[in-house]
Amino acid sequence: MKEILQRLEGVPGVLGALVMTLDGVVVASVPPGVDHERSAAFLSAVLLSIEKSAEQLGLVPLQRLTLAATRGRLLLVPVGELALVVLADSTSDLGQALNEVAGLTRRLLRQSKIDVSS
Amino acid sequence: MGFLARSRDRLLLPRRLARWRDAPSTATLNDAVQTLLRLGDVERAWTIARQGIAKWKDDDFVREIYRIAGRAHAEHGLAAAQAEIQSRPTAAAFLKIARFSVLLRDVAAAFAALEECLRRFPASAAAHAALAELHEQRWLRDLAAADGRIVLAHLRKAWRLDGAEPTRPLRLAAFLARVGALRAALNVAEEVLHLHESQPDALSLRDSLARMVAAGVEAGSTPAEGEEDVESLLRQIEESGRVVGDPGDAARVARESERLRAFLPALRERTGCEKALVVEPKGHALDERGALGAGPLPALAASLARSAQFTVRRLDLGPLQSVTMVTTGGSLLLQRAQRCVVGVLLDQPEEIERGRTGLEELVAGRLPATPLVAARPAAARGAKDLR
Repeated sequence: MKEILQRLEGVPGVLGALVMTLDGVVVASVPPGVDHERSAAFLSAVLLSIEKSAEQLGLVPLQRLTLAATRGRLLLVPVGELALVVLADSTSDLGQALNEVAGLTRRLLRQSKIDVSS
Repeated sequence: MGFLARSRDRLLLPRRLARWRDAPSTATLNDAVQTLLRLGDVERAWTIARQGIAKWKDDDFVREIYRIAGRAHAEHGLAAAQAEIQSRPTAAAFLKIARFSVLLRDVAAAFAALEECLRRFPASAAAHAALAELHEQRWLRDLAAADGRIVLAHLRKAWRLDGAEPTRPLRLAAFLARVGALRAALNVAEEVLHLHESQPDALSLRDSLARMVAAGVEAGSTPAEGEEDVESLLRQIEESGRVVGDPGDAARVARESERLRAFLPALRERTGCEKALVVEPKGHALDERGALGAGPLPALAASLARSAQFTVRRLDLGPLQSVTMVTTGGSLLLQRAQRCVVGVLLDQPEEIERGRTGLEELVAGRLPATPLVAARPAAARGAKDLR
């Protein structure tokens, strides 16, 4: 899974990436030495806070959540029981990263199915 | 404009100015201002537009005339200041560019002009003070500690560079008081009074700060001795997302919310969405007809805005700008606008791009505003704080 994430590291503007469970546990992350646990915990809290109202509005299932701030962006894509999170700077065009994410999502989905069945 | 039309305007101008002078009305005001603008006499048009707004400040038509004349005045002033810089660059010319850029809502150009001014004229106290003002506006919008620090640094520098001008240290004192550093603010006000003994603003600020410090010491919120830790106060404000105890905060939020709600009909038209709303910092959701009350959309928009703001602040990504939530059942887009958040609910994924552009235009004030109709009573404000 780490190898899959490392593909994202070279994409312009991407500062880091992680795969987490939906309740905020980090499964794999790049680059090393960054406090990814914090990001995972906060994003899990975001998902939890919107779960009930989103269901009532029929806004399910979640395909993508993007938080844009002045100094960076967070992109979360649910992949089965997991979520792929990409941390990027605030200026780069994320088109290439989004393409990579789409490919990685499919690979992660296959891998998570293998992990679950094995 | 063609030669004939211009000649006609020149012939009619004295009569139109006389009609405005002898029988002032919105119609004669419009005739005079429009004719002057067509003839390129922007400054005279601006003077008359200001007279008009002074007489009928609540009239939408007059406000539109004033806006048009104001824009022409700012564009004219900006061009003149740019020409001045080409021939003889001075700090004053850069300051003019910054002022006119702000009038034209181009804050980035104002920042760039002032930064260039300080690069060329590092001892310009006025440029430091103007940069402090721009950063203060940004701080009021984002409450980012970094902006607060820059405001303090520029105001202190402006004070050091020009100690004879008391308004800058008084602004420094007022800013310190606003972030909760009352004792530090009082010390600045007293220092100003050492140099300007009878300065009325300094006297009144010193007296009111002294009363607030005494009350704060009694309540235990202000240290009995020594100054407050301003850095820690700025961080607390950034984390909580509000200026505790700022008496003008509620009024500012209400004004901003009202302004944003007036754009919602145009936003719906632009994006094709049915549901659009404004969420205030305390989680209270409204549309152009009033409070929305409890419901899944206001609840979702408020929770998403609150948790997203909290997350980006804690991850040190700076203040939140926007949130995009894409699902199979539709998409919710949120855009930060000063202290409030504007949201649209869209059905189709292909509408997202248009929705985001519409929200950005709304926040920039580029959508037409519709006067608000109070069809629903304003309900009690929500209990939870957004941030």
